[in-house]
Amino acid sequence: MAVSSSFRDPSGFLFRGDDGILYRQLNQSYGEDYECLMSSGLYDSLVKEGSLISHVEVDVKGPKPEIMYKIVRPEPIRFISYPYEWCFSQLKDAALLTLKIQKKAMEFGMSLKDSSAFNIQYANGKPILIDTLSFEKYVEGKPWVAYRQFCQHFLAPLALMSRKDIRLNQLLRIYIDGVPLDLASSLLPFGSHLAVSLFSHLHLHAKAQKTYADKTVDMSSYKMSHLSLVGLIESLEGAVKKLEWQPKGREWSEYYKSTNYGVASFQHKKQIVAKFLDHVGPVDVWDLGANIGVFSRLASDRGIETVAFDVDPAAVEKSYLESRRKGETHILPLVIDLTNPSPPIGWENKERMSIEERGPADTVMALALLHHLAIANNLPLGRIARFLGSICRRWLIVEFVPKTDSQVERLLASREDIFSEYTQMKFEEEFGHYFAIDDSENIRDSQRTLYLMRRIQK
Amino acid sequence: MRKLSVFCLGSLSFNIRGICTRARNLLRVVFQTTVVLAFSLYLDPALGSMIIQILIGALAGVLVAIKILWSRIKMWVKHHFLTRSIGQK
Repeated sequence: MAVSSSFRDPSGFLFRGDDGILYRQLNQSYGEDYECLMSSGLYDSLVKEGSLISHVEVDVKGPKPEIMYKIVRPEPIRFISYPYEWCFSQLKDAALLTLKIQKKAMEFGMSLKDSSAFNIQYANGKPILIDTLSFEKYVEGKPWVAYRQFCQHFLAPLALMSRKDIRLNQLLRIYIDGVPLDLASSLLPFGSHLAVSLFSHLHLHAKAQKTYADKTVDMSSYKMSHLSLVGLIESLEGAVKKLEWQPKGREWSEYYKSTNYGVASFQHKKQIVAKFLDHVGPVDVWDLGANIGVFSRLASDRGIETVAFDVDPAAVEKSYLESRRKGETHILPLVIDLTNPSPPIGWENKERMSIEERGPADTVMALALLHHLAIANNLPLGRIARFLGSICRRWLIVEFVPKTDSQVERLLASREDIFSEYTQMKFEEEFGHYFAIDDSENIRDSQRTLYLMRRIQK
Repeated sequence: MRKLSVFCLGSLSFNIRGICTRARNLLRVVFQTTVVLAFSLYLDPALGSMIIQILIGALAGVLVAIKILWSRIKMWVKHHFLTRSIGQK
């Protein structure tokens, strides 16, 4: 069965075999470029440095044998994420990887024929190119066909996040082929015109697109030398490297400095969560409302594949920078608003998956989260329980924070308390429709309770 | 070293001349109506993107050529004077 998001490239497509394993069919039109990729040494070089996903050639029947060249089995990616879920540095690192691969490809006589941000995934804590079909033989004189896509998928959103507002990478959710350059140009502040690289690759580029949109031109005599292409790639690299964003003064990334956990309570909470994790031995964990990943790392440090979701880009940025600095391989921080999580988008709403479609997770953690959903976002406890049940396969570690807790009092300080049903008894009753309580423990010197719940089917 | 410098200088002056010629010609071709795209593509690179890329690439290529030339000059000077001073000792 063909994967619903894999249909645009005539060189091949992904499909799932009867065994449920993901395969890639290489079509005959890609045969020559594929042999060049493999025999030139480029594939070995990229796989060795961890830039390209590895694959093995297999003898399996594909869905379209009449156009098939070869079938390969790529190394699976444990969790698929999308550029609109990445923090600033994740998108920047993905951009720099794309350019690094293009430079390396040119050394081996090849070139990337597309530079979509969706061709990059995060695995073992680092970005990696997953589209083996992206390479074509380099023809001297030919401009870089993927230049426009690079500017729209990477440079424009990075510039917007850096120079205007960190939340503007969400435009990648609306514009599936990257941020239109005229839109990016209109949103960027005037100061971006003074940066030569942003002026040329974004503003001037946008104007050129508009000028030549309805014109036809004989391009056959216009060549681009190898040196010019190298210069272009280096210019893009310089532009990306210069873009910075400092997460400062955000309410969530400063969260642990202003919670009501004393040192003893905090340590006790960590001990309880660690005990629960050791008891259930999860295959993988989703930590919802993970903040900077303190509790996520209780799982990832145990070698458990952990995805750490949080709504605050600053918190996710801090978590990612820490994972990069320490070389952590089992944690993936992502930006997700649980009250409006990533929907399925693209053609037929099937090209990019929703959060539920990428689950369920073996174990879900929802620590210091429930009161934010129930009180700050008016979500009934029953609906929260249903959602957690839909993304959780076996275990739920959840923290109940009562109204008498100072954090909840702060949430209610400026509004009427209409939450008569927000009680511990009601919480246990509503969650009891989807989970059975396996264990619970009060956090020392606090009014909060941690629960270990087992998913049940009713 | 001399041959390399000549090559880089030649390439640099070629690129500058190239930029001016291309800019002039690009303005002329706006009025042409025939379409001959020399490349087979699954992506639509957009004509404006192609044109701007060629212009930026030409300028960037000049800078790369200067960078290569400068680093070669530095290497030659370092090597030449280092060799000489070792020889004198």
